[in-house]
Amino acid sequence: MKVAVIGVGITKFGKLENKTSRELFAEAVEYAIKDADISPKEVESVYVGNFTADLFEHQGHIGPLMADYAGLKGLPATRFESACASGAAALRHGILSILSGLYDIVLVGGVEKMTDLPTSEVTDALSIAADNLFEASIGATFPGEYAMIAKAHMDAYGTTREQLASVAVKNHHNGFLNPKAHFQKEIDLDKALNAPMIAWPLGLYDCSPISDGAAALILAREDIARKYTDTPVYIIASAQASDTVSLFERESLTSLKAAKIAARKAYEMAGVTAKQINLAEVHDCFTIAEIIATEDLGFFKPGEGGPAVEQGLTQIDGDIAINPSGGLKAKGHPVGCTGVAQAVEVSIQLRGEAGKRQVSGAEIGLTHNIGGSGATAIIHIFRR
Amino acid sequence: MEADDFSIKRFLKYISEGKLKGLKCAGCGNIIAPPRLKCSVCGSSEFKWVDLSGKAHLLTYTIIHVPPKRFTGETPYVVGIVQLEEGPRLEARITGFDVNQHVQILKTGMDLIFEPSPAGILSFKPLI
Repeated sequence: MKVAVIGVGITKFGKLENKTSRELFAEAVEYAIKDADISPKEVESVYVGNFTADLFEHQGHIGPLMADYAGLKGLPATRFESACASGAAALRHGILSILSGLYDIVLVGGVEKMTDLPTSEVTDALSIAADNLFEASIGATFPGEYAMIAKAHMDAYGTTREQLASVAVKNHHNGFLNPKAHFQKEIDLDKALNAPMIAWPLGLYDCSPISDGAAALILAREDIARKYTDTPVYIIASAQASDTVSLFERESLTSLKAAKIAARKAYEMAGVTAKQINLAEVHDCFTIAEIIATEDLGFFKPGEGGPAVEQGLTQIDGDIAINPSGGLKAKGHPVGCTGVAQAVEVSIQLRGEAGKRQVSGAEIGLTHNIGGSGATAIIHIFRR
Repeated sequence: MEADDFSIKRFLKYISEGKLKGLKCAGCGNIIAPPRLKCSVCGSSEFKWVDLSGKAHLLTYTIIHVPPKRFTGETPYVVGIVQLEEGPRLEARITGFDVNQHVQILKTGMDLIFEPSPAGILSFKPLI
């Protein structure tokens, strides 16, 4: 790979009542351009990750809209949609555009404005990432799809609700250390276990919140990166795979095959093994999803992800730091932004600039962004 | 012609009429539900509609407490993944029992039977 991250920007995540998606996007881009210390004139193309401003804000055609409000009018600007993996899809295409030789410097952003709608309408909007004819039509929700995965994982491996709750407790602790996180409060196991049910066996604290937010990255050709920064972060792998959109037609209900395929390709491309990864920002849209991610990525064997989080192996100072940012669970999950936000966190960590949540000595980091209940999986690996 | 219509819409219309049918591949006999343009086993696109037994077993399930807007007022309800006796898997409502007793009543692997639903939503009930 011949691409480097030379600038990052991220807004505060949360319920940001007075901000529209275009304002959030522009804010993240401003941070990233300042961070890269470049002129906006040096940016050659714009890639926007967004799931469904169409339903959340009744706004389509957001590629040029975001570019315009970010002061980048005139550039090629396209929106990428792959459900909750839209952010990583935009990042991957930004990378590909540099690898093609067409551009030297591009901007990748992700944005979602979700909190204008009541919860029932957000639930409806998110359910379009599932199979509308055979899943959403019978009343399955997104939490419901992951709840069925959780139930299958519990049956297969004895995974417990306490282990799921341990993911929430850990990620709330990490979010508490992240000033940009949606939630900056710690919770305990009792609170997580006694929360109202959303889709049994998943309760409120097993679910990521409905968040607004934006993030941006400036990517540059590897050989010019050091002209702009002393701390470039190199992207050493980008891999993507797909599976059925419907959960019921998958080979396995306890693992995401697309994630396993993308992980294998990413490790091959980067020339590293799972053991060499110091930290990973994984797609914990639900607590069970983090446990399965740590298994699919090869950090733990199938069935051992639950005990691992319960034993603290995935804390910031554990064997492998999982979601030091607080993850989707506590940092927040503005869906189309998430893949870009994950890359921002890994970049900050590899530069050694993560403050209280810094993973000490981090050299290699990974992002794992999932669309739907596993139909899209996109994995990137970064090295400082 | 209905007999030549191997579409997803026809499959869903059968369900709304209280009938569970699948496509039988003329090439290899594989049963396909929901319809696809080609048989996933042999690639043939010659089919006929056949009645399915309605017998299935439960692979996993959830209790929906926070529904999408159009199902407001129906909670809590059960959604599960079932495997038909003929092989295909489907997602369906699991009905016909007291949802509050789901932990005692629903067991992974248990037998279910297709239950025509007035709303046309694919449903199965436990065979207890």
